[in-house]
Amino acid sequence: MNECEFENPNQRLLDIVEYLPDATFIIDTNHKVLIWNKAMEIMTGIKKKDIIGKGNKEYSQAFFNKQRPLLADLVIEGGKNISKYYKVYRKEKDSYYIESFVPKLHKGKGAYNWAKASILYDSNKKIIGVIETIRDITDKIIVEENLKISEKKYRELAESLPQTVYETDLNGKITFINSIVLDQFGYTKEEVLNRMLIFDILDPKEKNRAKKLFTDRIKGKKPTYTIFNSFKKDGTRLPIIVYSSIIHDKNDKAIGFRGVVIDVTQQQLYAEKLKASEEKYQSLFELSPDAIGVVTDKKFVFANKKMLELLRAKSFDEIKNKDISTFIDKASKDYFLRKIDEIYKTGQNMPLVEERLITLDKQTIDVEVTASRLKGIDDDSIQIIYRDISQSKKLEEGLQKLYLESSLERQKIEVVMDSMGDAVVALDKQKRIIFANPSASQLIGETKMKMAGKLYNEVFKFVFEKNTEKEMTFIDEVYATGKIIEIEDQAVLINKNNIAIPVADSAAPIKDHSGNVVGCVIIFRDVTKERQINKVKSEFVSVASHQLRTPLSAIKWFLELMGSDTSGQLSEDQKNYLNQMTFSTNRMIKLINELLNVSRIETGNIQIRQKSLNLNNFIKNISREIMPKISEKKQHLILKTDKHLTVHSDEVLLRQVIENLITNANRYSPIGGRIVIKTYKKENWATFEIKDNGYGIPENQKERMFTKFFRADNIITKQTDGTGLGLFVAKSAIETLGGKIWFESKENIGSIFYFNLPLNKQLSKR
Amino acid sequence: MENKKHILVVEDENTLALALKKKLENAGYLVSVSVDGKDGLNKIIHEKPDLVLLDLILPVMDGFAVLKQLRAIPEFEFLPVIVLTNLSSDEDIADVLNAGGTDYFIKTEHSLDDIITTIKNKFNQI
Repeated sequence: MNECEFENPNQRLLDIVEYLPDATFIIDTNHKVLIWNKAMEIMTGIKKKDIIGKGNKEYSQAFFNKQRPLLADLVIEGGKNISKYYKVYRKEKDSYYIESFVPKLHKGKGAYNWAKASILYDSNKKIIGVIETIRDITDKIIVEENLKISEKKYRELAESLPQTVYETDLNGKITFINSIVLDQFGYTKEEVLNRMLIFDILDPKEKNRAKKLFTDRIKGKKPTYTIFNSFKKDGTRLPIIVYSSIIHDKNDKAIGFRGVVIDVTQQQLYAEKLKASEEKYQSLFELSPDAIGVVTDKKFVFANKKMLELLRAKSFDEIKNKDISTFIDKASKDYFLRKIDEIYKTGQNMPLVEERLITLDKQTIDVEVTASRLKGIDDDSIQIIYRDISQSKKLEEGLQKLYLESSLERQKIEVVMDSMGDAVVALDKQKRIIFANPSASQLIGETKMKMAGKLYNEVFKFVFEKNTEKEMTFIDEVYATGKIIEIEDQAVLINKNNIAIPVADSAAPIKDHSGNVVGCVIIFRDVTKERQINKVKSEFVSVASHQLRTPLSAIKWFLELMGSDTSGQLSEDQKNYLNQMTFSTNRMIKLINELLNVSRIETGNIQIRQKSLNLNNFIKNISREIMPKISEKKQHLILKTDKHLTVHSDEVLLRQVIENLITNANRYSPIGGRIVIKTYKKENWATFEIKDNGYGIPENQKERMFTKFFRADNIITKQTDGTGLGLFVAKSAIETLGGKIWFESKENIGSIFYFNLPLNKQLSKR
Repeated sequence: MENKKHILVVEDENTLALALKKKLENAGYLVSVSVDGKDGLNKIIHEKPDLVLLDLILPVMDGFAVLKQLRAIPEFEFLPVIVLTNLSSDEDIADVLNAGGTDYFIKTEHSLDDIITTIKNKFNQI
């Protein structure tokens, strides 16, 4: 072969061949590879550069496990040996066609190939080689085989049904018909024979398709059986399959068709139903929260998404063909497999059992398993359903533990609650009673069981002792503020039976993890006795102090008489003694007055007379009266008061408060101290502020500052002149006036006492 | 001497009565003392004092009753009656003023001088 001569056409050929979609190669007459295109590389995995110029030994290895001639080799030898290798082949002019299975393709999976090999001539009609084109028809083959199976199925169906049998000539004219045609189509034989074409029973739209099938049949094409729409004589639709075979005469010449017409209404309905139910089943599968798999021969043939997720498979391929027992924990594997066998044998469902699954990534998951045989669809298949219970199992274990712990705690708490003398009632978020201890039941006058679930204020309420019409709002305040509220000395419980019981109570919020108030615990106790004692005490104080006043006034007045000019001249010492006695008498009077105030406050025996007071002037007046004492200690009193601030309040009570606060600042600050009084308006409140740089209040005693007879440790030693009643009186007075009193203090640095009063007149009336 | 104003002290507590008597006499008044309410009322009616210092808690008849009965007699409708007491509650004060007390002193809170000053003022007004 002249290479130069061949180069150009060869190059052109190469270009064309390279991009053919089909795998194509060319060998020369010496069985050496000239061209090996891209599709060929893909199909065989052998690169051009490794095969060009190589011979049959090499390239046949791409397809077969041992050396043998390919179609191209057989063709170049003239085709005489083709039948040795290929049972079925077709020859058209210089081309040969075959279909065969090639084991080595696709990495040993093999493939069905269609191949065509043609002789190549040069311009001088001289053979230069053979071009072979190979097409992978595996998919097509599979489809055809499936088709064959379905055809077989339908034929079997047909056999069991009464059928119309027909014969026609080549044009389709009916030459024979059996009597079933009457049942099936409503035609008599006479109406049909030699008058109708077989196509006439079909939907006119489908006639051409049917005719083509018949003509294809004559051409030797394989028959395909599809469903046609036909019409009965009365016009009703009838789905049919027409089977046909060619009738040959003695000379083997086709002269007509013979076949059966099968009513597939039932089959179609069945098929549709099946399809529908299959689709339903399929969608149920996918929608199911459970992992569902279908197993044939202990291998998965289907798995829904959940199943894949559960087994940690990325795709079905990862679990396909794996024995299901590989996914079951050793401990229960035998039991599981035995159960599966039983299902096959008995057809009975596997009862719900718990198993431990092993996932692809070797995790263990607790599942509930049910398995059942798939009836009516595929008797070999078992449907297995796994439900992941690992979460609920964990939860269950956790709950159990919690329950054990909490029931112990509960018991403890219940014992404590039951034996508590104080009444304890717990409310939920909606203020319904969720708990009441025996003491509570007793006070409320209702059993725990009957109270439970009721709104608390349907059962009992708390009112003010001084005004039993007015309901207390401290429980609402707990819900609103989330703070603990204590009420010592003014609450009265109105119980289920409308009995008023004086109580001391407190309410505390129940909070969840995020700090939201989800309930409230009310603790209260009957303080009838204490209140009575207090009352008696107050009365006693009142009477006693009144009785004390008489002799005190006598002393006071006689001291005054003794000091007056008319009693004769006194020595300096005597005058001094007289002053000391007067001072002490006045102190005693003051103490008694304060005791009386306390007693009055406690018995509610105070009348408020409100009037407009200019705070600036008011404070100035009081300061002037206390000034001597302030000067005595060389202290500085500085007023930074708002000149226009006016409150609507009770002069006597307010005077007492301010007097007490200034006196305290004076008393509990060292010589040369500095006392600053400020007043200012803040929102709807007039605020009073008095700051000293005195001894301050020890941290651990701050809480008790406003309690009766309380005196801080650090001042008892320094100052004996104090009753321990001033702040108690001040607090009671300010609260009576609708305000608040509070303080800030640091020991040895000083204190600031504040109180405020409502500027709104309405607010100040209580 | 005839010009001396006559003051009646109705006070069951002897020491207090004594102190008041002393102080008032020193101040130049004619003083008589009564130790219970009923006697006090009688003395007012018969002696017709210019001013009365009246305690509230008294034997036989208390100060409130004395005031009420006294005011019921037209002659004594405007007689100055200064109530001297150790009852200091708001109600007591209100009751006294309602019953017709001219003034109200809490004994421990006031010096004898305060009382004299007030009496002098009263006489000056009259």
